[in-house]
Amino acid sequence: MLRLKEVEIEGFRAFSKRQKIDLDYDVIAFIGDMGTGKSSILSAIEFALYGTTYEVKERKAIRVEDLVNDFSKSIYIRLVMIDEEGNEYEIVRERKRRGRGRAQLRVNGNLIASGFEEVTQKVIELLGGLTFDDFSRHVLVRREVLDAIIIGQPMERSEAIDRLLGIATLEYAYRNMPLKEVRSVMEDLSLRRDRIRAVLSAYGAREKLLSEIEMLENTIKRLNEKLSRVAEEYKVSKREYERLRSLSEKYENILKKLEEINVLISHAEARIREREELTEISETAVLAHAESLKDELVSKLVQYLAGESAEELKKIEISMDNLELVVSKIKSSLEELERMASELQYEVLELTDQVMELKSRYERVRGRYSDIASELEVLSRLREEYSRIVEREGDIPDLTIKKDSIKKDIESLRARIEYEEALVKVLSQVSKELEVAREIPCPVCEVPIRKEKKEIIKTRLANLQTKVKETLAKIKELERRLEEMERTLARLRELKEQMLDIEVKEREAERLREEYEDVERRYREILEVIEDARGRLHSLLNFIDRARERVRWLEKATSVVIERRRLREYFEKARELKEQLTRLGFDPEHFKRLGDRLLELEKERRMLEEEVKRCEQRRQELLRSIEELDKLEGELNDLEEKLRRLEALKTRLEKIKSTYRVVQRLMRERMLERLVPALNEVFRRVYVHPDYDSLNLKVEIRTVSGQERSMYNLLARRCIDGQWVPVLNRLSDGQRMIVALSLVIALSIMEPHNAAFLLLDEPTPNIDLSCRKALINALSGIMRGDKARQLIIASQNPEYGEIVKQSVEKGNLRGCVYRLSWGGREGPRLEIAFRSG
Amino acid sequence: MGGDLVKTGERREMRHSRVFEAIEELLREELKDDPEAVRIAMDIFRLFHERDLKAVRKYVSDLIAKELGEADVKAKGGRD
Repeated sequence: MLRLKEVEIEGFRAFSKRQKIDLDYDVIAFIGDMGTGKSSILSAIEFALYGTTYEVKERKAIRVEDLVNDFSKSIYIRLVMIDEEGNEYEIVRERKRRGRGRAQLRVNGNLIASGFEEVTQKVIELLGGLTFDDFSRHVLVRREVLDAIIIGQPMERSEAIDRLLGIATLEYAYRNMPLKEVRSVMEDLSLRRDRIRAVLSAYGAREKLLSEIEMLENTIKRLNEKLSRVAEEYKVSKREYERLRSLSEKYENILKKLEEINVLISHAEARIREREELTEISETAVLAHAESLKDELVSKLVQYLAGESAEELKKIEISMDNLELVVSKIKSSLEELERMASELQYEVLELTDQVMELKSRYERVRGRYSDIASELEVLSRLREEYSRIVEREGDIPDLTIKKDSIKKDIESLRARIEYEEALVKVLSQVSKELEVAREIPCPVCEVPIRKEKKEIIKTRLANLQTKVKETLAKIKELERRLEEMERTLARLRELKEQMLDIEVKEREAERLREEYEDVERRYREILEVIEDARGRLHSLLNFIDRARERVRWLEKATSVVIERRRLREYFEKARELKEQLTRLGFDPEHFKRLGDRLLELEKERRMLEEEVKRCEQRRQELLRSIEELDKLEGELNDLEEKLRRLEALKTRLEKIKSTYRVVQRLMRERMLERLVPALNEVFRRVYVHPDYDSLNLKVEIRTVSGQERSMYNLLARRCIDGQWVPVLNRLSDGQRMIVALSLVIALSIMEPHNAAFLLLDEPTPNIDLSCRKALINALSGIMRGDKARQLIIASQNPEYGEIVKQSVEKGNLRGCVYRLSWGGREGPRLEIAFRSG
Repeated sequence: MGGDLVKTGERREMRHSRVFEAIEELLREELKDDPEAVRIAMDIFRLFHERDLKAVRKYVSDLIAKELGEADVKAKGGRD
């Protein structure tokens, strides 16, 4: 028997930092609030032993990697167990969040197994065959296992108890017996069998098929005889036909040629008919016409300087044999003349262009000449004006001298008048002063002038004033004269300047006159040439028109006489071909009749062959049908044999299935015989109240969905009246929980495994304090009978601390109470609340 | 130490054989007229105990195949 000694946990569920927990006690309680790691310690023991947990493997609620603490990268769990002889069994399991883990099992430090699977197998062996399923039912007792027994439908409860008893496989086998596979194959085979039967009925009776084959063979023989007769006649007829066919080819060739000749004759006659007016013309007339036309063309070609062509045409001797050639030559000579006419026409057009150009030039030159003549007329009038002015006023040098002389006279008079005006001024002043004074000094020479000279001075002053007026009038006259003279001089200079171009203009006028006279002469000459060319062109075009008409006539006449010659040749050829046909002695009607007969024989032969072939095919089909018939009958027998064997197998499997049910009932009854006393022993120790004193678990037969099934019925004896009442209907939740717990503990004690420890995870939520105490005392008492056993309980209820303390003290056991609290990132904080022994 | 391990292994076999022996005994008793049925019932029960439904189906398919012959086995396998 193996006890738990210690466990080290790191990175597993609530545990992040590595913690070592001493488990070497008879009774251990882990007390703490929700989420403080109580269940994690029990799961860590489970993981160390089997490499998985109930949540991962059975409920499939989480994955293995979800067991890794959120603040850790991997799980590390080390569990140490010890047996009665003091041997230590150390299991170490490590697993990263992702990837496989590492596991080792050592006994007294010696490595016994490594690897997850190998270690698990060794653990199962060490624990006396305690598999993971057994461990989940009998060692680590969870609320879910208890709930399944006391909550739910009767069938589910029965299955839960079966699981506890280890016989659930019988129900599982009954439900999943794969009879469907056998039925499915049987259905397939039945379908195949039915199909074969349908095909066989479609074939009909074998005797009927054989009779038809015999009839077909007789028919084939008769047809083959007829086919031989037809083939012989076909052979003889074919030989004669081949002989006639060689003659037929010659006959057809001659006929074809004759037909071609006839077509040619009809065409020639049609062409002659088309030349209706020339039908009767003689060959001599045509030859004479051709000769005449040739001569005229030769003459014309010579006239228009085409000597070489004329000589060539002249050399041709005209006869009926070369008449077509002659006509062709005449046509080409005529075309040459037409080309000449075109060239002449082009020349006329070119000369006309030249004439137009000369005319235009003449008009330009003549216009220019008229302009210059007009200018010369104006210039001659200016020259006359110039001559008149010179004659009247003198030449430009004379006028210049006169003008200078007048300027000098004017200057001399102005100087004189200036002196006289100054003298008048002095005399006026003296005269005024002498009016008031007797004597005054002369303003010029300061000589005294006396009043007596006053009259003399006045007279002299009057004379002087008259003289000044006369001088001023003279100056004015001279200035007018000077002005007139300057205008005349300016006009003369202008006229002289304009008259400088007159000679140039006169020379230009002479040159233009000569030019337009020359252009006029040339214009007249070309006009004469054009007239001449037009005359010749007209004459040539007239000739060409006439000649063209004559050539057309000659062509028609030539074709008529030539067609008449050909027609004679065709008639001769047709006559020869008809003679050949007569000599050949071929009868096309006989040949046709023979061909038709051959076709009939061929058709009859084919029909007979088709008929023989069809009969043969039908015979082969019937033979194949008989073969198929044999094969299908064999297959049908085989299928029916297989179906019989499968039916026997199905019956056997159904019998086995029903036997599982029978065995299930018998096994349940047998196991309950052992279980019920143990169950009552546990119940009486745990349940301390006086209302119920015994339990009974019975197997009853019930009918479900038309089938008889055995089911468990859990009963409790009521103390008041001694009646057995159903636990599930009458007892409270807490009472039912104690019943379920009693059942599990009884089975755990009964089971022959090597795990000397019982792990209870929150087993008593609805149980009152007195029952909880009784439970611990009872279990402690039970364990006193086997010193190796341990009890480990995890609960939120702090009363368990005191209950365990009292129980171990009373029972003289070793016990420990761990108090767990929340410790942040580092995981749960463990404190020892109580320890004894 | 090895002796201890053997001993624990034997305990497991004893426990298993006791349940199995009881079931086998009952099956044999119930199917005593058909020894082949006893053998099949025990074989299938062992496979069911391992919760290996695939193996159970394979076992039954083999039984069917044995009754039908090789060609039919292949045809059945293809259909599945």
